[in-house]
Amino acid sequence: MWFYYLFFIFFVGTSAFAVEPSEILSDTRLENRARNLSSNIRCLVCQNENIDSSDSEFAKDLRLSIRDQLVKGHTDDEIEKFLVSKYGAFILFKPEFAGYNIFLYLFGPFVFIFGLITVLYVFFGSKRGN
Amino acid sequence: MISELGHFLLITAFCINLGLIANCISNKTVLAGYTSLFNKLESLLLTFIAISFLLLIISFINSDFSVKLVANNSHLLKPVLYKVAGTWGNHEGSMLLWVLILTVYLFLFQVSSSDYPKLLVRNVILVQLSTIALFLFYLLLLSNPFERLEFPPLNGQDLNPILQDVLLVVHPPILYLGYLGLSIPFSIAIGFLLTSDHNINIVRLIRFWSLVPFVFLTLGILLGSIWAYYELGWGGWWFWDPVENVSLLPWLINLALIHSVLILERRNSLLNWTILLSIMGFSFSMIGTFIVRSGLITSVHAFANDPSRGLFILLIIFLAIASSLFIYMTKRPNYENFMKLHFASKELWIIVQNLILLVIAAVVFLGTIWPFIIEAIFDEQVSVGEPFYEVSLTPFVVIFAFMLPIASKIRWTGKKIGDIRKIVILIFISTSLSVGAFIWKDFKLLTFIGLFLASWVCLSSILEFIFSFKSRPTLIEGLKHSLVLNYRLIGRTIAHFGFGLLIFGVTAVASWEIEDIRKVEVGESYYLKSYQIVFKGIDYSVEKNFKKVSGSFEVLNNNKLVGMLLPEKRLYPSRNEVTTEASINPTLFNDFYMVLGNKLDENAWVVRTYIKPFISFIWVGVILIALGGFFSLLSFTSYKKPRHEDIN
Repeated sequence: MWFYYLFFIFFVGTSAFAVEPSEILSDTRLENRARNLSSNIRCLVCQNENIDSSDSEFAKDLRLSIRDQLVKGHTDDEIEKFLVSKYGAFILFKPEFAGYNIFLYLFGPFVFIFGLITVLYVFFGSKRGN
Repeated sequence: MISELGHFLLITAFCINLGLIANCISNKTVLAGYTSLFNKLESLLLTFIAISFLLLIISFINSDFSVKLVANNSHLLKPVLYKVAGTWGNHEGSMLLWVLILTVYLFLFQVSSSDYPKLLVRNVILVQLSTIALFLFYLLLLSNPFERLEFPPLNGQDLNPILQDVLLVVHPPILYLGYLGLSIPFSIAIGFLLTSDHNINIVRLIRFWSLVPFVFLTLGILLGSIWAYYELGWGGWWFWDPVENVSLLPWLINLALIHSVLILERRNSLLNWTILLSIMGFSFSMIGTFIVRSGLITSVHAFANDPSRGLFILLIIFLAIASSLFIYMTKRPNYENFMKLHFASKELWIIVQNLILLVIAAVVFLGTIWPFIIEAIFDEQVSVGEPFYEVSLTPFVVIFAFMLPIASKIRWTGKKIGDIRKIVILIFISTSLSVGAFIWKDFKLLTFIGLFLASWVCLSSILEFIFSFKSRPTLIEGLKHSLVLNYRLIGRTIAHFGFGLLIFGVTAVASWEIEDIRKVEVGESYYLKSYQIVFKGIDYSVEKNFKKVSGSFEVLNNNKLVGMLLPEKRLYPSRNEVTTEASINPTLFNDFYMVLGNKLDENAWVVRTYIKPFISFIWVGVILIALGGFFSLLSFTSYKKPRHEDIN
């Protein structure tokens, strides 16, 4: 008996499981946007998961909130801004291209161009041919 | 008793280790590797560490809960296989494995380096011994695996259920063989710098010892990826989690190294660069491993972290790396044999490829530590995850893949980029192939680019292999030359072809995956594309150390059975944790992937189904990349000074 009781608690009692059928919007375009958005939103109570794949209640609430805002006609940008204002920049997996994050985005291209110039200088600008 | 013995052996090993180091430094006439006493002591070091590791495994098998580590990570009811693997499923045990593998590599290097100058070998061994001493010291001081508990519990706390998997047996040891194999090129590089004679040719040594870890590291990362694919239940194969990122860093550096060493071999140039890459490779495997364990960065792999000890080891590692770089700065050979390069020479292309690999590594590294930097400087919290890496790395991967066939094909010090006509024709074929697939499925720019690159890399590596026959008088002789004698050509072809397949797999999964989430009642069936999926029933059962509920589903195509899917949810009572076990039915071109969700009412369950096209191409591609490294290693069995056509 206790065995089924445990089952009841763990498999039935926990009512959240990533995206649930009841959450899905009937409008596929809005639903796609919702999925896209939620893959960029961090589940704040999990280790390192987005809300799209997380089982937590927190993630579920955010998924519903995002869909609610989408139905009301908010743009993706507005929804992300709203989430950032409420929970902080930590919630976005892709940091905004602003402030100190610009350095993060430009670091790769900068190293590449700098490296390329160095390579070209060393090999073509050098007088020390053999 | 067992664990005291293990502890004692470790302490003795540490003493032997210090003795050997002292011998290396002080006595210049007693040369490492060339006196029987030194060799015996070295074997003793390996034996003691190996026995102490075995003793730890025995403690786990015996479920000796008076040992703290066993009590925290094992359980009476756990299957023996997981008791054994549980030895390295935690911080202390994995540290002991880490030291053991370092010592095994020391031993292998010693055995295989007899025809190199004694001074060089001694210095390399000195560096390797110092690395071992560093970690042994840390192990004994702060993470003693043999620590006893004053009041042993009746049962253990069990291993994290997510880790209870067959792959725990092989994934960490193979990954460690990769990470720690990089210690040998590192030691060679530093040892070489410490040796005043810079005319010693270390090309062959570095080439060999960078290929060994390459094979293991590739396989280790692959196993981790496959594990995440079926265990985490999100259906992805790469999550850009910090732990995955840091395993990618040494792999990327090592990849750059095995290509730059070709230039060193062929042109006797870029010696400093190769040495620097050798140092960076192992440095990144140390930084990566411990930055995650230090708890500075959150990750789904948070099973083995401990902030206080982690910070300590991180500090030591930074000191070690800083001193290596200091040795590099002060002792590096100050001559550099610069080549007069033409735009179409292989060297230039490989160097630019090297550069791109380094840029990718730099972006991944910065992305991984960015949240930490920002918190330290601005006291703000940011996240860096998958969407960021996709945006910032894709351009570089695209440039890299596009350049690869050309870099592989053109000649050393070439005056022109081969036969432009052939390249144009090949590009045309690849383009039309991808346009075909593109029209057949759907219209996305990235899909198109991915398909183009996949066919461009695959086709040209095959063509390059076939054309190599043509340089021989007869086809048979050509075949013999390419298949039997030229392991390097085979290795390169296989690895590059595998990279092409990998690109194809990634593109296909990203573009054509089908996902379905719905409520299904027992007996109900539904369609995904042309596949019919029938929910046959649900079943509850009790296993040895967990209880499970499992659904059974049939996949039908035109009323023919394609496969069964049996997704599970498990409850591990010892830790009160629930895990979802995805069920995967792999077919040649499609993986059917299913996760069981919650029970909604008496008969209805939430079910998540994916059809993942061509995901097997990702695994096969990576296996081929590792296999390519393996074939290149075979070239050392019949080593001769490479002739022009062999390495061109």
